[in-house]
Amino acid sequence: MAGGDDEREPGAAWSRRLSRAETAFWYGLAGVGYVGLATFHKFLLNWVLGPVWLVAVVWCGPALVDRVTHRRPPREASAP
Amino acid sequence: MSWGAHQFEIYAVHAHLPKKMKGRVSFFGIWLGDFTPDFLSKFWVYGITIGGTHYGAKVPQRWHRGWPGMGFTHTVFTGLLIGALLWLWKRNRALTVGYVLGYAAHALTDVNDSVGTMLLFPFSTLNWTVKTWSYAATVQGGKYLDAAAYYSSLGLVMDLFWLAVVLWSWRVLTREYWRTQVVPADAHGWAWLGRYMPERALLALYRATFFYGLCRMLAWSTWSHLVARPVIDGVTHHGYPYDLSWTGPWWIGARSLPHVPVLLVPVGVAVLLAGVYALASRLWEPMGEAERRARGHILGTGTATGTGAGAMADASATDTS
Repeated sequence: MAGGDDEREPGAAWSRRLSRAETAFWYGLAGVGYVGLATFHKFLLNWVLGPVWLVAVVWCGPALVDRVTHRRPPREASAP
Repeated sequence: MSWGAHQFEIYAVHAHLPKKMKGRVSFFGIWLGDFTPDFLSKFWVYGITIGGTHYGAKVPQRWHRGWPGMGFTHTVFTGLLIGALLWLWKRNRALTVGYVLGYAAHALTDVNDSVGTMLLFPFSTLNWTVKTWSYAATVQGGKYLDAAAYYSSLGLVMDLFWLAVVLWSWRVLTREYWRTQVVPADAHGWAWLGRYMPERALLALYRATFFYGLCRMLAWSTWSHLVARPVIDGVTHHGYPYDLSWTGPWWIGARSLPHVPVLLVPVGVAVLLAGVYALASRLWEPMGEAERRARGHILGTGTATGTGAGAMADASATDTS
């Protein structure tokens, strides 16, 4: 499978393994966001958009945050 | 009809497979089997309105569950028939058995609403129902009224029951379970997806149906009881009233079709459920043999290298993680 938990590869932000706290945060955010929006916009409540929403948030969310916060992979961060 | 229950039962079925099938039945198969009945029939139940003209079933419950209509899509017979065709096409035991179990779960769960399903189709077109809650799909009310009625009645309890079953088997949602019990049975499929998605996205995809079931339950419940302002018998309510009595809620008439006596239904469901599992169990080894032969492997050497569950299965428990 692509990715795994090797944070030193290029594009690792898109594939690194999330910690438990991060996992809880991103799944929780996806759930709260989806329920909040879908309560008022019912077209979102379907078996395509629901799963796509979760995958998009859990996959892309951490990567975007890593980019914005300039989080570096361990090897680069410890390099002189 | 059931709502979130159909999403939760997929995980429940996978978590409670017979011992010899654990880790060898396709999750995709169960998913596809459980969703097929509504894929084939539900679009026309609510229909669509274009330019003020409504296109859809005139009698939703007959279209959805009756005969003539698409009621045959909610029968164990159709699940077995499609499963047989799937087997002839793919020779994939994991997918076929998963599909039939998922299909049967859907058809049997739906006996709970006031319309029920034609469990003995094609031998009988009488519906089997225990009338736990009211079938509320109507031309005028559409999906909104249907959801409001379901989440105001024992339908909500049904969703919570299946949610509890999954949470009781919480390991079914873990990374370890996905790696050791789900991926091996669908190795081709997950490997193909893995070419485009990292593991955390694949895991999210696996959990996505559960997520969707939970979210739709919460969203529809929130809308029904906190947002909606229905007028019932001339009185405006702050949210649709709960009614957890049998065949509730009281504020919508329960639709029905000709059916067998209610007391027969638990027996019929138990017999059919046991029958489906017994059939799957009886055919498990022969299907594995046939799958290996079809894949051109040498029998009895334990050197099967195929990626289908049948090819990997009977010699030893396989862990691809």
